[in-house]
Parts: sequence; structure tokens; C-alpha cells
Amino acid sequence: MLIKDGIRMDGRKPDELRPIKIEAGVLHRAQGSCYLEWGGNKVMAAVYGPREAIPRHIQHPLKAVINARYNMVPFSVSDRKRPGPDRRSVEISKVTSEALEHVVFTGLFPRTMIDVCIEVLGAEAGTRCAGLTAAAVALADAGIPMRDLPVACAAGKIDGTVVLDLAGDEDCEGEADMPIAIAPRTEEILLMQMDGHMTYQEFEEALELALKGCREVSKLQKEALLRKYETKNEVAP
Amino acid sequence: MIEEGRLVLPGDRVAISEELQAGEGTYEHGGDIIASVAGTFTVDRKRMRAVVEPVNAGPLLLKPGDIAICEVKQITDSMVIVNILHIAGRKRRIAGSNDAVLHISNISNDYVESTGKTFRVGDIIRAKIIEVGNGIRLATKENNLGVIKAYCTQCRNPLIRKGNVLECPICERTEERKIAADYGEGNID
Repeated sequence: MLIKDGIRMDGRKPDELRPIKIEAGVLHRAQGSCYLEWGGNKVMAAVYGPREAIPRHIQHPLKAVINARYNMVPFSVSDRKRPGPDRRSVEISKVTSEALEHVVFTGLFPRTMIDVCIEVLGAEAGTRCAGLTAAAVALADAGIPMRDLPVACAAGKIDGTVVLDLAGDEDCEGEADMPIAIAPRTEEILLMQMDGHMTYQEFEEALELALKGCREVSKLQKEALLRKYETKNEVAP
Repeated sequence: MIEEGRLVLPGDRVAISEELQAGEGTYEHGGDIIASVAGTFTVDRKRMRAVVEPVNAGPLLLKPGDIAICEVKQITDSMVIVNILHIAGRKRRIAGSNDAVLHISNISNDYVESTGKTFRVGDIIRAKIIEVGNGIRLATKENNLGVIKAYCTQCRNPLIRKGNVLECPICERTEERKIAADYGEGNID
């Protein structure tokens, strides 16, 4: 029983997000950084570069390559996670890089690489959304020109109800989970994945809900950046 | 058009294309002028362009006139090949390749007998960037440009300036260089 009388196990309504906290510019040696808490997720993102891409064969003569690295630290989950890249984190790194590549003006920095390091310090369903959202703030904090400030949020289905932002047990026991990332100004979809099954009507409902979630998270991202730049003039190199 | 001096973020619409053209820190999409970096919105009235002055300097792209601190990597008859380590006044690393060349004709206003009499491998030099298009080219034709730290070619001890030459305090060798006015003071910005 994941949902009862329209209230979920953690007391949320079906269209409610978990509490989110975003802070920009937390690391001194990174060009841009962000710390984000999203329910039980704790994510740190750092941006380094653009720098000369090495080894040379990965350079693109016309644009920068984005090298996102999603990593879960061993203590991020209750059973120790074996450190190092695995199939899941390699996939998330890939889809995150591809989502970010569509918003960054990569053409301005040919032959370079932009490193985006996403460290998951605590995990509770929806880490790829949390990671991408944090990475977007870190990229903006690094002063890298972008079309838009991308944002991600998931929607899914539990006990036959379409809900926003699945939490830990809902993700494990639920019927479907669909993370999406968008460029909020145009609402172009940068990333969409789905685990489980939904009917077409449910899918459309979930997409609408996830877009609504993205809009809310986008506001928090912008607040975090404005808060940093309005209060202190000290910025990362 | 939003009011000038407002803090904007990437993706924020600052104006429409009938009002202004897209300048630094902005781009045009579907008739809108949109900020591409976080910064302060201003209008360049001379050219009627929307400009976003970034809150931080952003990626380090080299441009002619920048002062570079470099390490000499290789010396040929006509070229000095260096690695750019730092750009004066910037903290960020260079976006792109840091290989650069200094041609013998750009070393000094005086006659240069050979490149080896002006620079040696391992020297730290200050140079001005004169071209970035097809490979980075440097010049040291000014008083404050040239070697800012050099090592003895025999014992690798730091050399000390004695008038127009450099002297090794250990083996008492003297060496010739194109010396910057502030040799040995450690100024890199």
C-alpha cells in the first residue's frame, strides 16, 4: 500500500515534490559548483574547464565535449556500494552528458572538454534528476554560456496512480518511473527515460506532471543562483 | 525589454529582436534576445545591442595582447616552443591548447644572434600573445617581457641577475638571456 486516500507514504499529495534545497558555488577550487538536497538525495556537482581535451583523439574540431561523470559514493546507500563506475553509473553519465550538450554553447570552445563531476553523497530515488539539476546550476556558476538552465524531475505510477517525484519505496515497489530533463524556457525535452509500464493516457498525465515538477525545481535553481550573486561578490575563478 | 542593471540567468529573456540585437552574453532565438550567462543586463546604445556583463569572467579564451607566463619546452634555430602556464590577472586554466611559439624575429628589438642566447629549456618567461588564430604566437619585444626566472644549464640552480647577464651562485657561470625588467621578483600577474 503506497498511497491511501490520496496521501502517499511520506505524507505528500500525488503532485507534490519532496523538499529541495540548492546552494550554488560551494567548492573553491572548481570553476562552478552546486550542492543540492532533494528529499533523501544529497548531490554535489562541480564543473572544471573548458580545458584542452586529452587524449587528443577525443577532441572535436568544432565544439567542446562535455564529460559528465556521475558517481555514487560507497556510503550513499544503506548497503555499501562498491566504489567505481558500474553499468548504471556509466549510463547515467552518458545521458547526462548528452542532455547538457544540447544546452551548452559548445561551439564557442572547440577542441576542449568541460568536466562535470556529479557525486551522489546520499541516494533515495531520483538521483539522476538531482544530479542533472545540480550540474546545471554548477555550469551556470562556472560562467559557461548556455541556451537555458536545464532542469530534471521524475514522475511515475504507484498503485495505479500517476504521481510526481517518486521517493525511495515508491521507486522500488511502484509500477513505473519516468525521469525527464527539460530546457525550461522552451520546454524542449533533453532527457527522457522510463522504467516500468504505463498506458498512453498515463504517460501523457505523467509527462504533464513531470513538466510541472520541472518548472517548480527550475524556480529553486534560479533562486539559488540569484541568492549567491546578490549576497556576495566573491566568485570562483 | 527588462530594466537595465538587473541580474539575469541563462535562459532569461532580456529583450525582443525588434528592440535590440544580441551582443555579448546573449543569443537570439525565435525573435527573443535571451541571456546565455549569469550577469547584469546592460544595453550597448551605440550599437543597440543587448549585453550581459557576466558576474564571473567565465572560460579563459586567449586574445592578442594578453600577457602569458610560459615555460620554455624546446628551442630550435628559429623558434622557441613554450607551454603557457598562466595568463596574467586570471585564475582559470586556458580553454584550449596551451602550446605556443615565439619566433626569433619576435624575441627582441636588438639583434638576436641565436635563440639559445635568449632562452634555454626550463626558463620561465613572460610574453605577450600576438596571434591566436592558427596556433598561438608570442612576442617578447618589450622591457618587461622576457625571462623572469632561469636555471643554470649546468647545475639547475636558480640564476641571479648581475647587470645584463645572469649568474649561477654555485658554479659561478654567467649566462645570457633576454631578461625581463623584473627578473627574479616572482610577479606573474
